[in-house]
Amino acid sequence: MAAAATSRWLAGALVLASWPLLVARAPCQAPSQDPPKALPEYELKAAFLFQFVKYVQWPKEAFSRADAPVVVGVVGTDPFGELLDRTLRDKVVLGRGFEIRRFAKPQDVRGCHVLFVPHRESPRTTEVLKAVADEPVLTVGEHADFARAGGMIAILIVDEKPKLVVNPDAARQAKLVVDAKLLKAATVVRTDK
Amino acid sequence: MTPRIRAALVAPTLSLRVTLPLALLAAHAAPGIAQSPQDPPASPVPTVADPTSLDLEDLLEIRVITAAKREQVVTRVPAAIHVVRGEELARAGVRSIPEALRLVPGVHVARTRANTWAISARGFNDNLSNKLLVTIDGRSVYSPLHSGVFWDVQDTFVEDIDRIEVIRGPGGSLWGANAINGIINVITKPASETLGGKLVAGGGTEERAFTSARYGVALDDDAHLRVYAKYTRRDDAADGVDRDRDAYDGADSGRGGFRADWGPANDRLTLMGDAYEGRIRQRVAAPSLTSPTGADLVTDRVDVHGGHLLGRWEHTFAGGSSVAAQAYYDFTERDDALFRDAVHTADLDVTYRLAPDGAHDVNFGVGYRVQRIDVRNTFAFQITPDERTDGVATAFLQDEVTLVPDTLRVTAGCKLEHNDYSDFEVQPSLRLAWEVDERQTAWAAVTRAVRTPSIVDVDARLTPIVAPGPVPVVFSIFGDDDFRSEELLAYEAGYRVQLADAVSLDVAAFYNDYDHLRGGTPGTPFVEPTPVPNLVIPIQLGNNVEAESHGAELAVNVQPGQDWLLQAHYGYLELDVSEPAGEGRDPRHIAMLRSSLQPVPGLSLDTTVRYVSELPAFGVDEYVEVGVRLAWRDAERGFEAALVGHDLVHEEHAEFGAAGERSEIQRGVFFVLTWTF
Repeated sequence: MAAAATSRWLAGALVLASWPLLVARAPCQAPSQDPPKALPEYELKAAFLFQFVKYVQWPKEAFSRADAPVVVGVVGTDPFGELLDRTLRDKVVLGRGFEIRRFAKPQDVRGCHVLFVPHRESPRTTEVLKAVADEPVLTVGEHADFARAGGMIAILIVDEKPKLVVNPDAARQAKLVVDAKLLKAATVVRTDK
Repeated sequence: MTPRIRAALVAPTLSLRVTLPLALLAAHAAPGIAQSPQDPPASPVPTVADPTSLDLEDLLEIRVITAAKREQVVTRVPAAIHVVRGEELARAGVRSIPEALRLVPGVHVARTRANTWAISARGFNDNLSNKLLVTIDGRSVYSPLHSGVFWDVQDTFVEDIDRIEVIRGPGGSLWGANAINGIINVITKPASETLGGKLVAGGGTEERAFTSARYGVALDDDAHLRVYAKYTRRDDAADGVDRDRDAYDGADSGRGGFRADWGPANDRLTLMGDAYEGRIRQRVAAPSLTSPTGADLVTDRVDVHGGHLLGRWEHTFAGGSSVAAQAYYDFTERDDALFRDAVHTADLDVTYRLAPDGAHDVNFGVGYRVQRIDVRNTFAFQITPDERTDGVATAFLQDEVTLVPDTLRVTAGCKLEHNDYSDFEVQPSLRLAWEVDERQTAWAAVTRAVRTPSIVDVDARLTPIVAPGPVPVVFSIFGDDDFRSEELLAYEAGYRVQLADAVSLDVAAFYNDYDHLRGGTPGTPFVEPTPVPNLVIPIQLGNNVEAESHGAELAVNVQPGQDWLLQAHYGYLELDVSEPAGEGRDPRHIAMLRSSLQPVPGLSLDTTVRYVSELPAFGVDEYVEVGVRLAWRDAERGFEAALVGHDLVHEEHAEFGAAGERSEIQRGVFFVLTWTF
């Protein structure tokens, strides 16, 4: 029963305050005055894929020519839609462009430099990793256990913020060199035996 | 394929009894299933013109927009399932598990008194509604005494809840007895996801004061631990008869707990526990032979305390099969003026999943639970014998068969259970899922489920009413030695569709046929000579009630923009009970409308409007209530301030219970400060 009058006043104020805001928001435009600091999940993940290419060094034999494109593969149902194409189109890193390939099944995976394993494919992580085991392919996943299961980089979302988990042993085994800057920005784990 | 990782996808914080069954229902995560709302909308307005212009460090500072994030796999489960994520609980300003359940379509959550909730799905609601199975991190919390849940002692560090999964309808073949009208699983985050500190403090007019603290540490690469403590003080509601008076039903409670997770995903060990203590105020009329009015008004303080310790081991073998073993001990004690009970529970479950083999996905498991129940008998509440030890043994087998890859799946399962009251119980189920295309899933199910007898059904003598006089007349309810399980045969069907990138719809319909429900029959009056001569009018419990119900639930999500989510829920229920007293206790219509908006970065505004139709049996009117939460967050400093208003429409309103037994729930406002470091 306490403070009924106060609570009634506050309650009324809250309700009144909330609805005009809702109505006013209807056209739903992003506010422009603040520096933008938020991104849809897969736009952010596409940007990460781009950055990884900068901080990972592939062995020479991974590319047929000096200007051969970096092939980014997605296995299973592609959560990016056209975002990946839009993000990487016309981008160049160390003289290389990008090419995007999609593989329906783990056994279809071939000829890529970066392989993205979406959440939905996590159950097949072992299968996917086996398919690229002896090749210099940077494996990137979204599942919390991806790096521990032998994947190289996991992009996790914790408290609405991205977090990276890197397994340098797995990268080394595939003859990839991960830049110290990337390792510093990430949590480092080892493969579970 | 590694089933353990697959299971982890289905339920990132896999816990054996809680989420494994979900995993079982969910089938292979195959390409070509319905798009979830988290998939990129068709024409987003990018908040950063070119994200590739940001460096690694910049990217790590970006907040991720996942307003409508849903467990994708949920869209494929052939059952009426709904998942409420931890973020939704935070956004709705939820401070307790019962309040969280208001966010689930088709679940009737009614606050009878400040600390008493009646919660049910698809009918038969009551303060201790007895047809739900409720687990918290895999630990069953319904009481063996009456099969109901004391919601006032079910709590945790709310901010660490990962999600609440609710299945409306029976789940007997996987979850066992009591999973007849619904299953509620509360699942907390693994310790690895709650590193660092969180301090929460707040207070207001009804939620008078609450404070909680959690700290999580990484012990090494593969070992994480968190500990928490909390304190809550809740104000009295208004008296149900004299609204200007306090109902004397507030409470103070404290709780502390921990969770530790060790080891890699394919060989993980989890240990968790908690302990709580609380005092709940109540005024009760204690029936009495000597009182001139037939009852003594007692101003009581219910002392509650308890705790639990749970260990779980999950292991994936090299061949791809996996095992999960879980054991827990739970203790709970309640000391009320009308009764006292203490329950010790020890429970062991082992589940095994064969390495998936083509079209088949086979799971089986065994479990044993032993419970020691001590009761202190009073005149009003008597259980004979007052000390007992009961055991329940269970075994289940389920096979999910893919008939047409990525299109048609059939799940057949059966649970066998043995208990000390009704011996063997068989609970089979058959579920069919049809993934029409990438955006649509249809499902149908036929299930048999039972509610096994509780102690009250069999061995109780309850005396709620004494009519005073020279020879007092006593109305007593007597348990039935031959009480058998209540049975349900349920027919269900559902359909989920992603209508557009920003619009999804989930509808489920059911027809339930109940048999052998509990009812009472007046017996032959007799005279009891002691302590004073009195005439007893006995009411004999029995399985003499039948019922039929049908209804439907609908949930629609619309995301007009990346920072705005609208949700609408509606539930319809028609319940026919052969005993008219069983009707009119459940609302025919429940509806909810929620708006979750981020007008500018850092600011969030949530509004929840709910409607519940009348409960004629209690004379409780239909009502509309509104809750609002306005929060401002400074992501850099990890600081958040929120102002929450609840039950804002009426100064006070009734939600459930007979006139003399309910309180009026009052309008309230509170603030919350949260610091994450």
